Amino acid sequence: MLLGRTKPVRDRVLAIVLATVGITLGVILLAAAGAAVGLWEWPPQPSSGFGVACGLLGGAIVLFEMLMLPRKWLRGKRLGSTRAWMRWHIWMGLIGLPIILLHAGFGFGGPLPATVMILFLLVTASGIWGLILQQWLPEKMLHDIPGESIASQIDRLGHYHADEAGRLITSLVTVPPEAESSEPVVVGPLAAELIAFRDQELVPYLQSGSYSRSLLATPSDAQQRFSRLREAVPPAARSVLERLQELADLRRRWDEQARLHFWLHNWLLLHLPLSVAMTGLMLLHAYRALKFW
Amino acid sequence: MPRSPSRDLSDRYTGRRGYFRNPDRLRRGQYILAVMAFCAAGAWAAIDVTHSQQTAYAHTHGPLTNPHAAFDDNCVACHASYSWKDALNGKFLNVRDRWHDLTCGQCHAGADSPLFGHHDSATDAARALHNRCSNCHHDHRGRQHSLVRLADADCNRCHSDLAKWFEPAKSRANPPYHNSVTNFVTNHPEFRSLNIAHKPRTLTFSHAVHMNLGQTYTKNGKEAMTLGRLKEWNGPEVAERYRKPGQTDADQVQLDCASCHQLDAGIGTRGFEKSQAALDQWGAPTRSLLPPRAAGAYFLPINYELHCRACHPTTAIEGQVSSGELKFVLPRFDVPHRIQPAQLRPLLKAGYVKELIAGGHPALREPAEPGGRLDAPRPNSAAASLDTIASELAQRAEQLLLSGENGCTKCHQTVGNPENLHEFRIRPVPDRTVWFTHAKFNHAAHRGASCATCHPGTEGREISPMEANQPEPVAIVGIDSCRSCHAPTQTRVQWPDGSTSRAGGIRHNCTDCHNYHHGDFPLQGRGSPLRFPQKTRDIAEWLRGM
Repeated sequence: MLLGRTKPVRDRVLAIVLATVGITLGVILLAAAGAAVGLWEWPPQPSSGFGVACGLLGGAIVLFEMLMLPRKWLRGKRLGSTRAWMRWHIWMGLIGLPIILLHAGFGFGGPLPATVMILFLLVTASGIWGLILQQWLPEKMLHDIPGESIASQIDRLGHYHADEAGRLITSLVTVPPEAESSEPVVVGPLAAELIAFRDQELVPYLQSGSYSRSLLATPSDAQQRFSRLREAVPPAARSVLERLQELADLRRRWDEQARLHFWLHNWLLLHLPLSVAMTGLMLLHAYRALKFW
Repeated sequence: MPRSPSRDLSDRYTGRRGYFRNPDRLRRGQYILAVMAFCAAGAWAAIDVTHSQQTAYAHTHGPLTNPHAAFDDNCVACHASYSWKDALNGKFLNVRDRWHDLTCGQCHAGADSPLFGHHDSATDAARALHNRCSNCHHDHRGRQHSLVRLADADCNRCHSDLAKWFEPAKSRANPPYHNSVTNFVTNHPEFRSLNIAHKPRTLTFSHAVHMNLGQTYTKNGKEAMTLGRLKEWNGPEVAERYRKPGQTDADQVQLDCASCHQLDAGIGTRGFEKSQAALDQWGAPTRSLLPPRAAGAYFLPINYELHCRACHPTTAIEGQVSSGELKFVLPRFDVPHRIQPAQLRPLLKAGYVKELIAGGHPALREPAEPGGRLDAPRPNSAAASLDTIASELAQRAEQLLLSGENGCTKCHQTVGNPENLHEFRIRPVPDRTVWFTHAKFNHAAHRGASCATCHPGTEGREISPMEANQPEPVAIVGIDSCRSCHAPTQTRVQWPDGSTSRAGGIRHNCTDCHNYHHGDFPLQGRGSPLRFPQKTRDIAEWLRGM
């Protein structure tokens, strides 16, 4: 979620850090003030009335945070805007941190509470990390990657462009049936080189990007390669080579986009599974803690 | 007509408009990991619910202390059971109260005993605090954690402001307890036991004299006690007791601390309470009875018969009796110790009569004249004669015992007029076997230190008779000497010569010296029946927490 989109990235990241620290310290200081006037004891005990209240509130917040998952599954149901859900998800997550810390009495407890606590801290940290990345990377992508595509479709589009490139080169080295001339545009050794370039470098690169280990992945090498070909081919073929270079450049940018996209979303590999585990164990912890012997 | 760029872009997705329904690798990874996490948490929960006893430990704060190790996975062994019905009366969220509702009384007794509390003057709130064992005894902190070695914070809950927790009207403390004592090093007051103004010494005794060679005031002083004299007075067994290796009968007696001060045996007196009750019934002293204590913690009480009598016998003087030409010498005889002056004369008289009879006094040879039926009874002249002799001897002996140089007053202080024996009394000697009655001190643990380090003035030295025949001041150094070792190492200790060094850094928590539940008091020590549970169990029941 992009916060304060008119602000510079640095300010937005700083705001997130300050909000995290500020909310955490603010809630803890508020609780300490309550203890100072005798409302509850300090440091808070997990099993005290205040501690249990914090635990229940924190648990409710966690369950609310987990509603993001069914909301995503049911996004067709118009259950409020994504932006509103994310805003609540972020703020409640930040408020939940000090509340859970208060509930735990700033400790870890036994094996199960400690596991839940560690998972909670990891989930919160990964969420904050993801939020920070989302302030920075989308803007970087916007600036650095013109022609941005849908990340999940990059490989498929690569194949689409590989087909196009293949057709273009074929049109240079063969005579299409509807052509007026009986000679291809490029003939001889140069035609063979173009075919080799198509099969061994360009098509694999367009299909697999940097995984193909092609020289075209490097901008300077690609520029050098296409310049030499442009100089070698007849003028009629140069526009085709420019299109081929454009496709290679696009694939390079998409590779960069895929890399950034991975960093933009990889925190979810941690955030989501740990959230699920944490919620499950939290419910078990609550059941056990409130259980009557 | 040229194609628009947008159309060009959209053509890429011809036939694949629903691409967004198919997650990419990243999203698939998220879901796979989420399902795995869900399964892992579910498995944990399933095992937890189906094997609740084996997994109970996972929900605790940590392992139980060693004596409770059997109950690591058996919550109900210590925690009181509740039913779901209790949820209706507000206990559902009162987790702390519920978890701290323990059943310690199954194995430990005392909480219900009126003698078990800390102070009789505690307020109701303080009693409520004390009745919940877990308020101070914190378990689930590892095998090696001690349940009785508490953090100062546990004591400071009350002792940082004691006025809130006790009712002065009920307090027997005189002077009253300090309101705020939070740390041994910083604000612990001087030991109140050392102030004996309200219960001064009633015994004249000089450690210095007794530690000198021959128990003399000065070196080579007169009347040094030799082993030969001891042998003459008490027999060879007693002389051997005090003989050092290589000494002959002509050598002077050299006492050391252990000659009189012997550490307790640790187990106390068998049947302590019954013995005490019996001795109380007879009016006999009970100081030699010991409650169960830690081995070697305290010194046994000094006992006249064992430690003093060899040199300071209480004997009646020899009696010189003449009857006509016959002269009798009645030998010295022992007079019981621990009796008051008023009891002395009959005992002395009886002793002399016994000696006169044993010696065959001539008066006993006079035949009893028969009395006629109508005659008046005739006085027994022999008895009258012996009574007169014994009375005279007893009076002289009594005088010497009460006011003579080696009589009772050599050591004991008295009250009342010596002329009136019904008022004249030997002052009782206070029982100071345990000086620090509110704390524990283990002499054996401090055996590396010389006695005189903590008990200055008890070493041998030349001393004037005037000084030696005064009651000694308390020969226990105060709290500062304890702090020289029992304080953080950054504390500076100043020595009498002005030099300083850093403190010993040895632990100095409240519970390092103080026992709770009157643990160091007679009747309430570890072996006290008050600490026994109401019901004992066999080992199997105990291990199962039943």
